[in-house]
Amino acid sequence: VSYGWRLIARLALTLWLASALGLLADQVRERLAPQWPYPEIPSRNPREVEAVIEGCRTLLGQGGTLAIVYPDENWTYVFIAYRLAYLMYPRVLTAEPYSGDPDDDEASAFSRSRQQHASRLLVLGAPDTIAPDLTLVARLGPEARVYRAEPDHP
Amino acid sequence: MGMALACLAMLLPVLAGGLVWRRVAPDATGLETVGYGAAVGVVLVGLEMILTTRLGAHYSLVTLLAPLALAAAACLISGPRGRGIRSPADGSAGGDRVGVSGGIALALIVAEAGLVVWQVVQNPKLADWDGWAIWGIKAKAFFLDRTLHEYLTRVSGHAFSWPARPCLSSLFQAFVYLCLGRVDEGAARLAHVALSGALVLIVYASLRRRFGRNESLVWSAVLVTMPNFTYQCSAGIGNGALGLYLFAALAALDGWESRQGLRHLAGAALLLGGAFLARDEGPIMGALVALAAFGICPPASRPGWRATLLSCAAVLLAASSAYVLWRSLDRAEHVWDIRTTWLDPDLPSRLVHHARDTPAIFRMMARELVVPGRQARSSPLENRVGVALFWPLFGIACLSIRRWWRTDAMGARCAVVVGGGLLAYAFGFVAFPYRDLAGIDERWIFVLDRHVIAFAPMAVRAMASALPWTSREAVQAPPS
Repeated sequence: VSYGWRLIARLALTLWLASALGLLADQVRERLAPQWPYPEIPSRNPREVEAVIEGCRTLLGQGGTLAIVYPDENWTYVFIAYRLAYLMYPRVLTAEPYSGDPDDDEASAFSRSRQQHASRLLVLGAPDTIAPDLTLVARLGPEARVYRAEPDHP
Repeated sequence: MGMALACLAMLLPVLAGGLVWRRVAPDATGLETVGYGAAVGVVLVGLEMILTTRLGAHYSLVTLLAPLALAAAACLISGPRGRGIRSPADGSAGGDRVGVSGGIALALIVAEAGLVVWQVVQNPKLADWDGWAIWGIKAKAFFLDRTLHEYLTRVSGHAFSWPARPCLSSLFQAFVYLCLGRVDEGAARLAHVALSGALVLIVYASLRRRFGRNESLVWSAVLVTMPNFTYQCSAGIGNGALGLYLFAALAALDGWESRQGLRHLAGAALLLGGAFLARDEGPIMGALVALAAFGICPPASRPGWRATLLSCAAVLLAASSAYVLWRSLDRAEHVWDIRTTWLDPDLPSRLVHHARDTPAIFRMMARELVVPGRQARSSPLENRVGVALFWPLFGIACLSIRRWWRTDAMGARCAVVVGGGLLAYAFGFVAFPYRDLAGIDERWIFVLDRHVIAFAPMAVRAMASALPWTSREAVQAPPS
């Protein structure tokens, strides 16, 4: 092994040691700082997002099922849809995204979600007119509404 | 009492895997046995769950544990008496004492492990988006349903969670939930930390077959203190598992030309099967590992081409059977379908388009690796030095490969797999029709950065070969 290679390796490992110590110090600082359980909520107001999720869980109770319609370009709504599907598995029967395209708009996502026969329907980001024939159960946020889609199962 | 029983149940796959591994490699050291035992145990549990579902039945903790206990008993009864053969590199001979550098490295590894566990205890939830939306939901479904079938039939409603994707770590996560009797995200994160611990043990054992104790500890510590590694080891996503099985399979195949035993190849195939089941790119990366392991042999120990081809084909075939078994469960609508990707008439033009974009992709990958995004939890110093150092050092290792590949085939194989894997990731995304090739934006970079962690252990192994920092001759373990 040549002296040059050994020198490069020792230099690199010394630098690595410094950086590793920096990483450890940073992690300790991070651990001692106040913790937020879900740092990845993509919203300026995480409390509102939590309120929508908790509201849906409360509304559904023990026996209901849910279908979700959400715009796939708004990360806050994507988060809510995915999070609910995870938390309430298997009672979220479908999470149907829609985009701004004419052949993939909120109306077609809405009709796809109706095919699953869920008892409640959560509509995120779509206008009020999307479900004229359904009963509004709750408004959980400015653009988060829960409708009664099917009769409750016993 | 209940928790103690749950812990015992969780340890049974490790015990069974360790005993199976001692049958495969009687010269394995204690640490090596624990590392490989965990890796093998997880594959065994995953295969049991897939097979049970394939037979149309529901699994339970008892039906999963009973075959493992039988396998452990069979290995104990039929196994060799005594401690087996120990290699000179295991510290009993030919090794060295832990010096200052080794001691510092060991302290760093312990401190980092403690900090990761501290983080999990402080926030025992799957905080990572992919950790719950893709991997976590599968684990929860497999636990609640007691079969894989129910979730796989929900493809249309849960397309966001990639139902058809192989997910070995989710299978094991579901097993952890079965042991505990409830969904426990903190336990799931700790199970992933334990898998990463197994990877570190295997990396250390692989290094010890070649290097002294201090060098091995230092390079293991380099891996452990990678910010991306520290983040991903507890995030609950499958990239770490892929890294574990790719490295374990390659390390198991190290020296195959001198061992060439059927059991040895079967053990390597089991681990390669784990790589095939870890993620959807597992088969491609696993094939790359097999090709590197069988294709790169120092001229002095090169066996005949027939033996090489036959061994390679047998290992690949055995490993693929696990993947085929998984795919056979999923006959419903696929998120990713071979007919809509490889037989797509637009594929050639997309490939050309993608080839033009490749330099830009690599420039962005390099930039992202040097200045990591939010998932790389690092301090300013670590950002400037540690992360900025890792991949350039690997580049230096590759540039100097002509100098050392004849004396250290394992390091050369690692370098080839890492290089080939990075290329495969960059080109492979063309196969995914839902990703817009025109949009090479930060989403791509986020994905690539996340996936590259699977190659970090192999990059460390290659760097260790290229950058010997002491003048001491490397320890060369003889064939067992």
